[in-house]
Amino acid sequence: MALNNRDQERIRRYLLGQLDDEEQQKIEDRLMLENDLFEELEISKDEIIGEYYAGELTAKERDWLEQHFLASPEGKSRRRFALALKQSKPKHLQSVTRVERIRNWLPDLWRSQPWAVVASAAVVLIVAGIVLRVTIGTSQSTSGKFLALTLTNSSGTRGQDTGPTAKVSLPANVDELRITLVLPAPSPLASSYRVEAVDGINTLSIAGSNSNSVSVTIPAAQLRRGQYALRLFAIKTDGTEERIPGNYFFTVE
Amino acid sequence: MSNRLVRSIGKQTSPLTSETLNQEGFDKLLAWLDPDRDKAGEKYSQIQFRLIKIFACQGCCEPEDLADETLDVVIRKIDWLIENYEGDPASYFFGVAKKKHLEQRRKKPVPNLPPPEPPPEEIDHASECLDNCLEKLTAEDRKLAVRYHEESKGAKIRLRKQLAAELGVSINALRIRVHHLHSDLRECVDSCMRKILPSETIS
Repeated sequence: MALNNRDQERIRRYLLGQLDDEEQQKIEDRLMLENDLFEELEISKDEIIGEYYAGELTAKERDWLEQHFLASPEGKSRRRFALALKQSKPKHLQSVTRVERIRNWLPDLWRSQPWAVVASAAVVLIVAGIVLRVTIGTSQSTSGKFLALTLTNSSGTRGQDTGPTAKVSLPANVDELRITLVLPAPSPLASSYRVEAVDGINTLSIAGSNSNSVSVTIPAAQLRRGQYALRLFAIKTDGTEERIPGNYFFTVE
Repeated sequence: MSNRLVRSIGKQTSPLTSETLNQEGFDKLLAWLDPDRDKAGEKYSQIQFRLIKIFACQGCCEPEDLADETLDVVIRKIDWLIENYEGDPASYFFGVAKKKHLEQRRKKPVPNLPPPEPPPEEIDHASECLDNCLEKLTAEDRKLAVRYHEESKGAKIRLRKQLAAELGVSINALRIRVHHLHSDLRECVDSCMRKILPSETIS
């Protein structure tokens, strides 16, 4: 049976001793038989104790409650629980409200000051745009800090160990040297290439290759003034290496 | 002290050793409540539970004893009841309990003084227990249990409307949910308190 507001009110008055004998008898009879009404009684007990400790009851209501329900073992248990909840509440409430505040901050701001949210969003977008531009610009200029050099092989010269030497001057802001090694002849069996420096360079890597040339990059930090020689090896499909005859010379000034 | 046949609701309903009540009387009582013994046990438990709760509202200091004494009376009359009584047995139980309560009141009137507040150390212990009990809840239930009684008067109504809206339920559904939460928490706190303090020190 669904409860109506009158029953809720009656239960409240029952707990506060405000029913006459006949009304009380009727409500007690119903409490023995009706589940919904009995549940309402239990709910109302909690709420009335809440009101008791919130100071919302009249003096007469307080007196009745103290001399009746609160004097029973169940009333004592509920009272202790209400006081414990009151004592523990600030601690738990603090953690709840901290999370809530963060969660509700934007919706609340949107409700109270929508213009502020719009303005803030615009500022964020502008700043993000500027940051993005600067970042892209920097990476572009960084990637542009290299010096390109093309070297031919010494194999066609008379003294292969002292072939044509290219001279290069590395500005301070250059990060790497990109060298294109021109192959003396196409190497149809080569699947890839390996390059090594005769001495003085620890890190060098192949950036790419085609039928006519192999691109190599060397970090500028590894290059000091002096002459360098690179040797190129063709790696065949069966895994064996074959040295490309001759060297690639260059001098850093 | 009357014989206590059933100590609490939810436990198996069965008669304990008794000098004044016999097994036959109790069996007849159960048969009167319902031909199915299990259902009869449930009905008896419910009647006893409600008697205890209703008489607690009337300031009865020992409602469990009152419920047991009521059972004594009903069992003594069980043969007559089976033959003659028409209506819901719960109503008859209540009528007997009411008379018993009035007798008690005449012998021992309700004191006019309010019961003392529980001592601070008891509240401290209860609060510690409650903290542990709250930790077992989900964040949403914890928030609900703590915040429901937060405000007073108009602010309280607004808060409850807000909580109900957040959960997408009616105010009445919210009341029921909080009631169940608080019932579970109270049970948890009481159980914790029994472990911490011997029962005689709990007011």
